[in-house]
Amino acid sequence: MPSWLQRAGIGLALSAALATAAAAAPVTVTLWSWSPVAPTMKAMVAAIEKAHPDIHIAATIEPHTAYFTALKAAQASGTLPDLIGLPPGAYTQEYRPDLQALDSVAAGAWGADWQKNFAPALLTQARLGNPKGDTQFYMLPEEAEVLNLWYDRAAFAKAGITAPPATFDELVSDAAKLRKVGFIAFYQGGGTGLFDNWVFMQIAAQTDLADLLAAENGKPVWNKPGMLAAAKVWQRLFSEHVVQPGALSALQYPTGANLFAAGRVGMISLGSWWLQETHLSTNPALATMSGYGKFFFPAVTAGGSASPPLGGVDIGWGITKNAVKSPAVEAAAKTVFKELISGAGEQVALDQLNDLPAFNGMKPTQALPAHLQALYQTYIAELATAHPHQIGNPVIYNALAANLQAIGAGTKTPEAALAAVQKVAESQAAN
Amino acid sequence: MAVATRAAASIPRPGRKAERGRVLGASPLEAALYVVPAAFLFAVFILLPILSNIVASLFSARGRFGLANYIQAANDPVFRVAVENSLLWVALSLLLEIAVGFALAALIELYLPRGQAVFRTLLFLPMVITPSVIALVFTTLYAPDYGLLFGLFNWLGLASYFPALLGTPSTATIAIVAVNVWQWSGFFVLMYCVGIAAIDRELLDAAAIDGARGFSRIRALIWPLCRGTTVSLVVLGTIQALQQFPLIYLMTEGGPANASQTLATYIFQTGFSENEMPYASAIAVVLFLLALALVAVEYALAGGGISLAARPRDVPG
Repeated sequence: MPSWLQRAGIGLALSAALATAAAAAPVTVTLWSWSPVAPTMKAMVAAIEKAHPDIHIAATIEPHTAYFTALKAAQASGTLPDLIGLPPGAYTQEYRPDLQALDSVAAGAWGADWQKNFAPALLTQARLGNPKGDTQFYMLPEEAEVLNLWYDRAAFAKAGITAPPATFDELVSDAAKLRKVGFIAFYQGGGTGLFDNWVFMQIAAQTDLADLLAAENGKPVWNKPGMLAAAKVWQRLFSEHVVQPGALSALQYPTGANLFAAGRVGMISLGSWWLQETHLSTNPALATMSGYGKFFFPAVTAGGSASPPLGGVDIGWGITKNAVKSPAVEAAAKTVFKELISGAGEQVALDQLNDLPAFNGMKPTQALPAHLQALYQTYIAELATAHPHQIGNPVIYNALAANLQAIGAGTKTPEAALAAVQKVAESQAAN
Repeated sequence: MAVATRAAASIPRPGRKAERGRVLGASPLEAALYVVPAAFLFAVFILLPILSNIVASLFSARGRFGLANYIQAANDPVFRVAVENSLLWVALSLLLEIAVGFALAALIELYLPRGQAVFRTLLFLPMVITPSVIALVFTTLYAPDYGLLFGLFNWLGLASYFPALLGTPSTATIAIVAVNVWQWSGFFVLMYCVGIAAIDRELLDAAAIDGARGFSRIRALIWPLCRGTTVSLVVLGTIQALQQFPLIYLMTEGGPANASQTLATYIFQTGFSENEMPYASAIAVVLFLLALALVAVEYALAGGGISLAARPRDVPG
């Protein structure tokens, strides 16, 4: 055989091999988020990649603050990943210019009537803060949450408490009983403003729900009597030693959650995501949740009721404009997007009880112990009636957190603190 | 004087003819070429960001040009707290780090017959620990109810007197400064050790013959001779204190109620948490000017001397 023919043959064979390899190489989709927790996300990625061998997901999970710092830097430098995890409201709005409108993506994934797959309240939250007239979606929810208080049954039993407190006075007396037998009565991670705001909002949902919801949407109504009543209850949590000393520098995560899991804490403000501990812990009391119970913030007025459920979108996903770098990546990003919300990825998250499903019809596939099943079903029912739990404007959010801390520290009266928040809210509304 | 003459004589000098128009033996063109890479890097990575930050600070969130962000800062009570805390950081950190650093260095260099290297290394160790680990350790150490210090108070029957150091506005900043002092004092010790070791032994011997011993020797001789080291450390310490971010952010996030906010943490909060980048840029400009002003004042007060070793003209006359 002539040498030129041999060389041509080898060349052709090599080209064919390279082309085959290129065709077989999976398309890489980049994904960043702060949630779900890293082990759960790793399992979700594995499930999606198993279902779609032609897709490789390069997932990066960072703690909340580090994630949003990195995301901002990536936005500034035009290097956002293909898919990003987002809470609704201010964060989604901040990245809206870099996100794809999702209506057509959703229609492609779930059909023209795709909106029926999500609770209307979740869709409303997903569009929170859109400019007037913009009815598009830039994120769609994967998981939802409900806020509440949790209690440790063993701690309550040791303190001689038979049921969670139904009134604020009972909360105060139960806290004293818990402290007496050596527990941190009510752990408050006041160092991070998020849980200060959420506890306050749970109280305000009792005292002035209408104004709370208006305030969440940026209306300057923080100085209304009902809001002030809530601030006074918040003050009593500190002045009557319900929360632990040093609460204003304490962290809900990891410290508070770890102490609660270790049986050192009587009560703590968390939410439906606490169920994820069943998968993360080997402690039987946690693995089945048999050692824990939940309740809403007790009635703050005589004859009143406990707080109504607050909740909504926990995490949603947006597809960035960077994903259109090639048709293959864009198609893969849309596939992963669907799998995260209603497919193999979300199924893994649900099976690990990471939080509640946002997509109708999704549920854990494994059989749950009776107590855990009851908790889960209760949450699903509460989510259907939950009121929104997000403050849309980050400046107002920070002002509220700082002023609630000032009330707790005793450096501001509830009146002065809410007047300060009101001033910030008015200034933001004027802008 | 003899020392000064020796020092001057040790610098190689080119001949007079060759010296004219030349810089360290290089022609002006060669000298400029040597400077270009460093100047380019300085311009791109230092000067340009500073200038672009100043420009950004002059535009409001709505894109209007003016001083709106600076006017906002002047009326912002949290900004005022941040400035006060930044100055408190500089004053407290410097005072304590210099006092602790010099005292320990004098002890090690003058009174420890052996094991000096071991002590210097041990004292320097906190410098190599990442601030996030330090913040975690000290947050747990300070924590009421389950912290190590609380355990000590509890053991002594004083649990009810245990202060929530990080959770109380009046003590939060001081508690974090104490951690910073713990971390940085080892560096000050090391620098003072270098300064003391560089002192001419003849001077010390002469002073000893003249009767300078003990504390008077340290006060009248060693301390003045370490003036160059002190000036350098004051400048470095000022910049470090003004830049401090991780300890504050990880231990209190600037709280409670913004009580431990400094300019560095407030820049982060306004820029990254509240998405007010133009305002954050204005605060960054203020921090930059504050650092410049403080260092200029320190430099002027010190007569411009910056050195890690004792200098002949520092000898008290």
